[in-house]
Amino acid sequence: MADIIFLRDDPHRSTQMLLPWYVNGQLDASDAAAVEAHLCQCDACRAALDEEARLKKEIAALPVHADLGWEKLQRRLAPDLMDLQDDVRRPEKQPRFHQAWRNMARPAVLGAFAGAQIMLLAVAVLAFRPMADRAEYRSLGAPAARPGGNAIVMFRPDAVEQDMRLALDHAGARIVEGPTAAGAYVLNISPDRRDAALRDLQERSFILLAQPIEPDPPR
Amino acid sequence: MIEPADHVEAKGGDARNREELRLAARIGRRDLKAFETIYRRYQPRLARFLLHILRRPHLVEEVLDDTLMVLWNRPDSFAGRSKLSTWLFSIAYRKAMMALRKQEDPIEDQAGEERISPGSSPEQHAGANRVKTVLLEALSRLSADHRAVVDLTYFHEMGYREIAQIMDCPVDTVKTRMFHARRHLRQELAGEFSDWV
Repeated sequence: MADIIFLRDDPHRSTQMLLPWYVNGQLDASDAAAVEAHLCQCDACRAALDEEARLKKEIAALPVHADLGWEKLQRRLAPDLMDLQDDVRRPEKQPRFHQAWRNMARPAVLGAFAGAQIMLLAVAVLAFRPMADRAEYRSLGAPAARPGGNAIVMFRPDAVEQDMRLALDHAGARIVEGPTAAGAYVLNISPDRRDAALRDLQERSFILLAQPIEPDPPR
Repeated sequence: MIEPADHVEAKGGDARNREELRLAARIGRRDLKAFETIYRRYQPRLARFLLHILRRPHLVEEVLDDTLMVLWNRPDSFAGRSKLSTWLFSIAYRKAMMALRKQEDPIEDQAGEERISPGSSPEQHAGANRVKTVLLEALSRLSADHRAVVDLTYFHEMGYREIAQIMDCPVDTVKTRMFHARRHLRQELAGEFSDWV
């Protein structure tokens, strides 16, 4: 998507470009005055202003339930997220900050990062969950949700079925449950090749996440 | 609701900036409580921003941690010439773009603009959920740079000058990226939401 030349002398064009920040109240005084002057005499720009406000509202409300605030969000999602935390084990390659964290070994900092991980999972769950009713949610930690599963995978929304099938076949993975409310599928992979299979899946562009989980204990 | 930086500024941004400068100074003296305060304040906003750019949760986590650890490990690199929020978003943006470049299989769909939207039929979605689904799909077909501008403008409510600082580009580039992004979104949405947009 190439950038275009900004035509400063065209008030209509300038106004169209500045509308997002006019709606935000973030324009310089001179730009705001120019926009308002043009809006007074341009029906198209006034209509575009309405569209702009609606578009901003919808996009600002998109993936994160921002109206809850972090603490509320954490409280609301904590039970489900704790299930996820229990089940979704970290990849073998730990992020670099974990080393520094371990070295610091301070409870306050550890608490902060624990909160951070919960938040990250919240973002992932909210951003990629299918639009299903809340009542349909089953956590990955629920035994019935992953009979025999030892990994989870999340596909991009536009992933092609044939690619998904070939990837799972190549990895030797079998879907045993899903999709969950988070849009994930629980996989069963032979334990001796699970790590290699997950690495293979993680490299696929249409796969958002592939992580190991611990299988159910024998009953 | 998570308060956008510039919205907060309107209610007393100067005081907040001064407070964050004080927190940054305390972090320079290895004050973990100050770091935790900043971490909790910025982690949700940066997570959202990075998720928009990267679209891979495992990358979001890594880049987010790396970004905030810069503040802890190299607090002197924040000289206070800009707002702390601008500085943090700038680091996050740079690290995110580096992470994207390292990906062997880029998740971007550069040809997406030329394609007709393959979205599901309207009957498969309902009301507001349909709006969200189509918007997410439309956003996914934008480049990372365009998504960044959209998120910083619409959600974080930043001005174009601050966004230009974050993305290290001319102000006019920010404006044109936003212009193209909005045009793309309107085109993608027009068929589904003729009564809406």
